[in-house]
Amino acid sequence: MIEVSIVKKFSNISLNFSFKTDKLKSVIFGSSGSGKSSLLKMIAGFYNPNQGFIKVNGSDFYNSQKNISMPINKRNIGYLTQEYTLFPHMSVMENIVYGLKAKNLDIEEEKIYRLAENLKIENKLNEYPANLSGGEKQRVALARAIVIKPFLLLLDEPFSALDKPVRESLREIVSDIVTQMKIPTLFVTHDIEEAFIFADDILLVDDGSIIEYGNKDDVFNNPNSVKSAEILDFKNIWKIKHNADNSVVLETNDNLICKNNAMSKFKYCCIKPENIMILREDMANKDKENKISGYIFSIHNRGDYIKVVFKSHTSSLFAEIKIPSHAVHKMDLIKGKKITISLKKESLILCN
Amino acid sequence: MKLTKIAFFIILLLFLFVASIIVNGFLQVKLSSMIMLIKDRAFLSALLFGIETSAFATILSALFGIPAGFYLARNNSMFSKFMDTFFDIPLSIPPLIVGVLLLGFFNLKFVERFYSFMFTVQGAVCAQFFIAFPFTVKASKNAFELIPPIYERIAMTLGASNFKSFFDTTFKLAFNGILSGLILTWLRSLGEFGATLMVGGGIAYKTVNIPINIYLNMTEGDFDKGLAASIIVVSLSFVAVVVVKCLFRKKGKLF
Repeated sequence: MIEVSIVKKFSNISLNFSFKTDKLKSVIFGSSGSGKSSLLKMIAGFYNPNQGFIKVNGSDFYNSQKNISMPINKRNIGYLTQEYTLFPHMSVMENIVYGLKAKNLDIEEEKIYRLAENLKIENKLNEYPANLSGGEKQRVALARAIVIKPFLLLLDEPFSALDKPVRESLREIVSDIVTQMKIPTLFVTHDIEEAFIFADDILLVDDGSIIEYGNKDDVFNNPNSVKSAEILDFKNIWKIKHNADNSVVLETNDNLICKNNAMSKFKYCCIKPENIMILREDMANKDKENKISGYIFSIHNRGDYIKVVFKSHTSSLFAEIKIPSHAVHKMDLIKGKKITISLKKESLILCN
Repeated sequence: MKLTKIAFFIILLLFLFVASIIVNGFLQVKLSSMIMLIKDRAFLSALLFGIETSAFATILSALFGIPAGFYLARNNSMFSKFMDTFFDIPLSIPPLIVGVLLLGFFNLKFVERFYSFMFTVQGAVCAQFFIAFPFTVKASKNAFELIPPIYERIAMTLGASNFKSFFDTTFKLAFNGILSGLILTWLRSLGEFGATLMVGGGIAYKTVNIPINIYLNMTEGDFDKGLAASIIVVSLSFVAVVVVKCLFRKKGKLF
């Protein structure tokens, strides 16, 4: 169980974090500069908050009222950052056993070798960090952090400097290992895909505070504030007015039917770009919900997908749509082409 | 022409300049003068005095200069910047003037009551320390600046104490740079002339170091003896530096 309630003032930002989690894998997600890494550093003990408390598995890491600040070396945490932090003058093996030696624990070579095998670094044990690739360095750093069986693993964007395939494989390895070893993990990232894949729970951070916290599916699919929706890449966020028949009217006067009945308290309606359908010409006249006709305002190739910006004929509504590149060729989508889009009511999220 | 090529020729010129002077010394020195010098009690006394005082000055520099360098590297305050500039002063004052200033200081009543430094080994060590410790401070500062503090923090998360994490990571990683500073400090102390002469008084068999011994020989018109002493000192210094560097630089690691 991790319990945090802290305030920390820097010259440029004031941090105010309060949360409690007993999930194995919690992700702290937010944009750069929102205070995610600072939160992790305070939990690690690199510096102290101005006030509040940090409690892990019942022991006080920090408590301003009780005047407690546990030294870093007593906290028993594993810490991985995006910088490569292997000690460059020690071999891989020396790096891995450093914590065991510092804590006067037994060095069981067989166990270490098995861990190295799991992390695919068993052939690198006598190498020095300078001879390792970025992915290998992070695997060694992970081995070094978990070999001491920490109470808590803190991951501060550890894969962000790696290329995509290495990042994906490492993410899986870390996820498997923390699950196997049951090490509670706080994972800081600003990569939405990484956050979704890794998390059990998610903490959304913005401007120095947690704006939403909960199960990842709830947070990702039903953000309860417009700020959360922005952070979660909803892209299409529209201000709404309410009709008597449970439908909503956008500021642009487009009518939409939503799944949620208790909607009068909500001020915004949002939808992810990938949840907007471009209807085939033969389907455009069929009975589809929330149809809006318009044209392609612009089209952008993003490599993995195509971003289409839609503009309504009858109003000033713009919508961003994400579609696979093969669909563009199949539907012959070009700038200026008239299209009809459909916004499925299940995908329309209402928030404040 | 590439810049590296131009730099290469400049380095070659510098090498020729230094090497030709030293090699010329080796060529001119007479074996008989060398043998005579090795048997000369005054020279051996000066050699021992020089080694002794410079070693003490270097140890003091290490004790005070390394922590000072660490502070300057890790602290970015105005005080730190001021101190960094302040420690340039001993480097920029001519040693003879340092000697005069030290004489004035050692003659103060409260200093004299504490200890009489004048014409003693301790006085000579003080003079050499004053002139040479900034080399250790500067080199340590530069070496520590290159080591990110994150290594220490990671070592602490792994259970190492404050001091152990510093020693195992930052200090060991910065050691080569610090060692270079200490070698410079030692060589500067060994070759110190003006301040040591002022404070030590150049008393034969008591406070004469090698440069003072050479100077005294030269003033007596014995150039051969002076040259022989110089060559012996150059050789000893070179061997000492090589031995120290080899001792502390194992393959791939430091300790």
